[in-house]
Amino acid sequence: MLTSIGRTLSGPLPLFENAGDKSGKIAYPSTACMKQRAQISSDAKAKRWALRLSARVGKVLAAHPHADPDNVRHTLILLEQPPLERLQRSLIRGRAAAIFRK
Amino acid sequence: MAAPLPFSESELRLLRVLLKRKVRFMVVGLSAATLQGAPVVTQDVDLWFEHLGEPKISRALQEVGAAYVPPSNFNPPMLAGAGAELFDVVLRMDGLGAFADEIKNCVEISLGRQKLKVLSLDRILASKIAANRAKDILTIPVLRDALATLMAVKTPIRKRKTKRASGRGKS
Repeated sequence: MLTSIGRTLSGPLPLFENAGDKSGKIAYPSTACMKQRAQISSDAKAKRWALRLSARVGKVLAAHPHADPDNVRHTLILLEQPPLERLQRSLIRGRAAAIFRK
Repeated sequence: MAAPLPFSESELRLLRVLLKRKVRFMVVGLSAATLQGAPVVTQDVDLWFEHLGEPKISRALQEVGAAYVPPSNFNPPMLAGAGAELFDVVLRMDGLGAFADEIKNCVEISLGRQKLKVLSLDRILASKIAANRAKDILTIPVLRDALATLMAVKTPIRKRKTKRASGRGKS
């Protein structure tokens, strides 16, 4: 079976670690099931974020048709970071580029 | 407390001492642009001081073991010593007004409890256009697009909440 996250599984994931246990113990969701759910959830979250970003780029370009879409997209991504983190990224990349040039 | 991301402990100490001693300065250039969200890269942080010769600057630098080195043959004006290597000193800004006029439109970035003044993106763009050096010309379209994006989304600069600020208003 090929799941939506691209994993091949031999059968359905057990929903609970002790499913079918008649001892009366509380059944906990299985680790594999929780991992899969988390992956699907983060995958869906990433897709939603990309769609939102694309819509925001479109809005900016509608107001400024001559702007470069890449510049707009990168600016919007950076605006999601705190200012000091933006500077951190810029310095790391700037220094790496300088070393590469040498 | 750990140093905020881009600065080492000694660099942070230098900035804090300058702010504590009420030295009038602001961050300019591409580091200022990147703090406001422009996707550009830089290797240093340019600082523009209102009065470079004032004694409180040299006292602040002495306090952290650094010193101001005036420009000579091939060396631009610079700060030397512990924690000062990251910072470059700017003596004049092409295409801009006096420091006192430009500081009125700067933005503030939280540095713990203190606020770091940063030249606004539109003024950085104006200075790059006026300077018109080869390296400035490359950044002009990026800065222009970043400014257009900022204006379009009207996103205020995110400030990192300090413990003190986040505790306010709680009963």
